[in-house]
Amino acid sequence: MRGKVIKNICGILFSTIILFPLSEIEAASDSQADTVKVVISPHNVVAGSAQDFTYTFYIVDTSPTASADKFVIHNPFTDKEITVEEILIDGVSQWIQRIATATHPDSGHCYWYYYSSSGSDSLVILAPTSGVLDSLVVTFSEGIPTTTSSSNHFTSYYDDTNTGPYTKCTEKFSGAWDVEVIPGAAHHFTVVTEHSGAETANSSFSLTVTCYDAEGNVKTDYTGNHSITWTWDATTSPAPRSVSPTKPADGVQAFSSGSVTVSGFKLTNAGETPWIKVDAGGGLEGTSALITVNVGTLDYVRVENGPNGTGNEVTTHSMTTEETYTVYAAGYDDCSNYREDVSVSWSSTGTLAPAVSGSGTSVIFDPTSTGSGTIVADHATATDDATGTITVNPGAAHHFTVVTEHNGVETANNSFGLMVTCYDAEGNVKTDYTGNHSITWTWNASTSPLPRSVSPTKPADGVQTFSSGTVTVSGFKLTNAGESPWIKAEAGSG
Amino acid sequence: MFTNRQRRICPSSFVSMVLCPLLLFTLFSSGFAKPSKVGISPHIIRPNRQVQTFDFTFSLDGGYQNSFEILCPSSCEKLILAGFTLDKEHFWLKRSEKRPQEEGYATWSYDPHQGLLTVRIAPGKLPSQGEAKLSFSAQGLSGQGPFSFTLKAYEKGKEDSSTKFTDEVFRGASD
Repeated sequence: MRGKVIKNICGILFSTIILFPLSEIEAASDSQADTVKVVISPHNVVAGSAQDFTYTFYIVDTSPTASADKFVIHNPFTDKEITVEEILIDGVSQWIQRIATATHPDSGHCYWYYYSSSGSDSLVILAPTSGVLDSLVVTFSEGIPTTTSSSNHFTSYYDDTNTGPYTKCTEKFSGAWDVEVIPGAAHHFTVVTEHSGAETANSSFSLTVTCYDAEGNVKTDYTGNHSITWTWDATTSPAPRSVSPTKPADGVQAFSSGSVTVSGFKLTNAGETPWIKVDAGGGLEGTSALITVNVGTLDYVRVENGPNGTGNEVTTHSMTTEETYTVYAAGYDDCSNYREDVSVSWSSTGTLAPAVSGSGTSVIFDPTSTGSGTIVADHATATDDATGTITVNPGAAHHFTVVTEHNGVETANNSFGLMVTCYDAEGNVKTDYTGNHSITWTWNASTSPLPRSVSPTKPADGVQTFSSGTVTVSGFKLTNAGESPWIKAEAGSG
Repeated sequence: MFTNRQRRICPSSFVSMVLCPLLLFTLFSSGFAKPSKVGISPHIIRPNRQVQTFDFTFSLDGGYQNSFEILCPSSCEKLILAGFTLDKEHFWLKRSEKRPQEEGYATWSYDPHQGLLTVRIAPGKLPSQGEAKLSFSAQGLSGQGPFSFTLKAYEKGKEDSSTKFTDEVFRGASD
């Protein structure tokens, strides 16, 4: 054993000297095989797996003494460990030992070691001196990178009798030492909308579904027809349009190289961020990121009672002459998604006074008289809108006018009537001032001169019945032609 | 991973990840008299490594162990014997179920159904004292662990008197 240890130490030093660089030159030994062909198996391995490989060297020389005894297999997967499980020489299983040495073992034995240096990882196998006459089969295992790749060359070299440098082997066939790292089992889908997660309401878009393995490699061999189920949490757009979202029917989709693009999706509600889920059964599924639904182009205008989409549509509206009323031109897309307040030309119909006019995103109606009509919003391109009937009523009862039967010229001691009319502050007859109201009469009329000294008369204070803001009360009589009296009518609290 | 009692003993993550397995290893090892170096190495494996080589080092206790078994963790796919040394002397290895007859040789086999790697040496050829090391490659370790490896050593025909070591390894969070 001690002798072997010394040999091994020497071997390590020797190996370090002769092993690298590897170069392709003519064989230096008389017995060295001229041609060694190689093949690795399998050629396709799954990304992220642990894999057993079988690497076979064939001596193809016709000479029965052609031999080889040292083999180097370049490992294209750097930063991975290789463990040799078994070595067969000319079909016979060998006793193996992992030792970095340049010393050849006795018959029936093989040394192996793994040489790892920056960018140059290799498995080295030392057979008995000139001990391989026909073939060498190495079974080893190693971890496979998690990323797919192709044309990973397990290039190899051989030598005989330690006279090196090494001779490059020949592939048994084109690609014989190549290994392709392929995707693993289908693990999940990614789901991406046509415009990367930002779609427009009521505009058709497509969805690209891509199948991946567990390591995140596109599963390029996921092809052909697969039955797909679509689900989502998209909802109908707001009233009044209430447009429903649409998606393709569940069913077969034809994948190519792991992907399929499916059209026929349409979202309608810009007030939400829905997701779309793809399910192929068996736990294979994927869900999109939340999708932004952008508002569509301007389609119609709606006159509302609040700004920036916060108001409601103006249907009928009653107001008094003392009030103002601001309305806004809210712009909507064809799914009733609010866009923005838009500039329109304002006008009015009916007897609204003053007439509404001007342009802008809103207008203030400040009536000066009673009346009714609509306010119209006229947009240059979008569908226009108008309010329902706006009725302008008088303001609060503000004052009475008091007019005598003969317009302020009455005859002494002749009865006359008095017409009392109620007005608002704007001077509009308060036509809704009706029914019974308690009226108090005051005046500054005085008794006629002596010797008759006739007193003026007026109705007693009390309830008068108004109609459309007016009441005519009789029973007044003035007597003193030497004065110009006034008469005051006062209702209740003043 | 640990029982509540074990968590109370080892509260911190460092202690849980590194020291606890060693402590547990020491506590629950038996049969090998006063082992000087026991346990598995490395205790932490890299995040993306699917194949990892470990060294299981142990001391012979004066008996005549000629059979060794390593039980694969449930999340492991396969174990491969990469090396066997006694006092740093390398044994010749061959994948075979046939027990060798010569000193310095060992055969090994893996039973995928039991997840069991079995190593056999010639009967009566192993010195009764010394430090032994089994190097083996574990394939397909998935998840974060812990991965519990159990080594069983016994003399052929006397499995009942076997000695067991259990040690755990963990997957590191980053390289």
